[in-house]
Amino acid sequence: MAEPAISARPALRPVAGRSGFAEFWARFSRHRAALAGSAVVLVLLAVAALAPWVAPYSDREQNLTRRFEGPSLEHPFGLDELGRDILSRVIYGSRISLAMGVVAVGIALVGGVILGLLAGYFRQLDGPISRTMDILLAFPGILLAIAVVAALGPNERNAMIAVGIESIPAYVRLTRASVLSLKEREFIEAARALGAGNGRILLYHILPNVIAPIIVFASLNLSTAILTASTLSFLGLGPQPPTSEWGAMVSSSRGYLRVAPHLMLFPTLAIFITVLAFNFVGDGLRDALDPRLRGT
Amino acid sequence: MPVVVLGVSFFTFMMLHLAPGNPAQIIAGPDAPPEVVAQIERELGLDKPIYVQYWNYLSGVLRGDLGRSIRTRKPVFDEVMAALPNTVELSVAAMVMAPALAIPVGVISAARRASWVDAAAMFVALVGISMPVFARGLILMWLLAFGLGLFPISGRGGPLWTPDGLRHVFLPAFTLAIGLMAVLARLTRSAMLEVLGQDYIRTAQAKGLAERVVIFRHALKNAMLPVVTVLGLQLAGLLGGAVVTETIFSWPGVGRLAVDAIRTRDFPVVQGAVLVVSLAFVLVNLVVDVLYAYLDPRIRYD
Repeated sequence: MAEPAISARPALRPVAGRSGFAEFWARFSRHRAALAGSAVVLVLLAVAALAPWVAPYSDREQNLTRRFEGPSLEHPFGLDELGRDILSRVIYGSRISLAMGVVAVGIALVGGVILGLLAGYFRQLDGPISRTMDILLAFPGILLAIAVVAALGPNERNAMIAVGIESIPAYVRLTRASVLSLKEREFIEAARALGAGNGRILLYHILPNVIAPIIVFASLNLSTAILTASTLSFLGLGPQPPTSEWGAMVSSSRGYLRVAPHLMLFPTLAIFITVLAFNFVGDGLRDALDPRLRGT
Repeated sequence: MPVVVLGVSFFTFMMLHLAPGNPAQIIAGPDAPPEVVAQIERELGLDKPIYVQYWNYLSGVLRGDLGRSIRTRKPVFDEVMAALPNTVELSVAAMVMAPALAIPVGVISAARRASWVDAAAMFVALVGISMPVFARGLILMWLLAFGLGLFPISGRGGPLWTPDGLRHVFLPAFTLAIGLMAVLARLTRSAMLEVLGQDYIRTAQAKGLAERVVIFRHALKNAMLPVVTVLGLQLAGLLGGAVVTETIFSWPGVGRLAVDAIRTRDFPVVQGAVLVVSLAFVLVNLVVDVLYAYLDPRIRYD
């Protein structure tokens, strides 16, 4: 059984005899913005992981006599409306903001791929699943997330679920479309002829063949998810005070925009840089892994 | 289409029932006495079986009855309909503003490809895409309203055709338009670059036409098709961004109504606002689709 697989290899091998990863890296590293983005993402992840050690102060410690103090050497980003160190809050906030984006994309990815596999493979499930997705798509963008949080109650976990649900339809459609064309192919027929059941065919034969473009899409989706999650927080529908989260920090800075714009500026910059970095990485991954998706 | 509309109504109806716990208790608040909870239950018909409730809700919606606001006691339909024109006004203002600025920028970027103008314009467009709506809004408010004092901070002035109305709508509309501008400018640039590489452009240049004529009369006209398409698709998307923009600038639209209602647990208002905005979204998408088939005979819908 193993022999034909090995003999078929050379035909699939990329030119120049490089391994798959080397090929990927060669294409990815040509993308300068993607490299810069990756560096920023790595720094962000390290900062988030090491927040208690990196942050100069606690993110909760208040100093009411020094409220609204501007940036200084002692407090590079200044102090907020309760005299908390903004740099420390931005550092701690990276944990929540990144986690919200990653978890939301995880929910959408797992849920969307399962539903997409089912809809594409089983004809009788296609109608109900696809129609439900049409309905979800009928809510304009963030409004669906707002409605979900309104129903479940505003907190961090529900905001992640809401952003996840909002992103699901795209994953379902992408997976379903790939499955529809794959299931007519000969190797699926061969697997069935060998007696493989539906579960085995879906899991071992179809899933590995549909997952690559979906992973690329998920990496592009991360920046959107972080944006939407921070928007929910901004609207007061995410993590509640005194949690440090970028969107929530921007929201509470609104009342002091005239007297202390630095309260708004630094968390805003954090969101902007994070989203930009994830966008660059996603673009690079797309170009390196799946050139067909270019321009989407 | 009818399935989608029915589904949207079902989702908004289920919002209240998806919530963990007793809906009446959620509306009344955690500390409400049982008799208040029971009264809300009776008032909203929550003591009936769920299919009866949905039927009552649906037949109410068809009669324009979306229930009553728990906070103000006014009919939800009236509250939403009073706010809706403001949201439409804001979206239309953004819709006019975005292409007016984005298309010239895209054309100049393409015509002066790889110049500093091109680089600067595309960088600004990238910033526009990577910045959340609320951050754009607050930065504009800080710079233009507080810093330069050019515009009022919040609220709606008179009607759009009065100077006061225009001054009030500018900041929220610009905030809303930036995202669309970024998309349109990038798209115009790439469509122009593609068209400028065509043979008929070289022909036009070869016969000695002025650059201005080649760019505007020959290239731009042909580059506009994808731009117009995306503009149509984004029209409905603006509605979503309007929700956030309205909250920042205290613009009295449906989005702000919904967000305020969530804060005060005014569920009927949340349901009504979500339902009306979503139906408007579906309707706008349908109209845009039909318009395409009319404008571009190659598109046919079954």
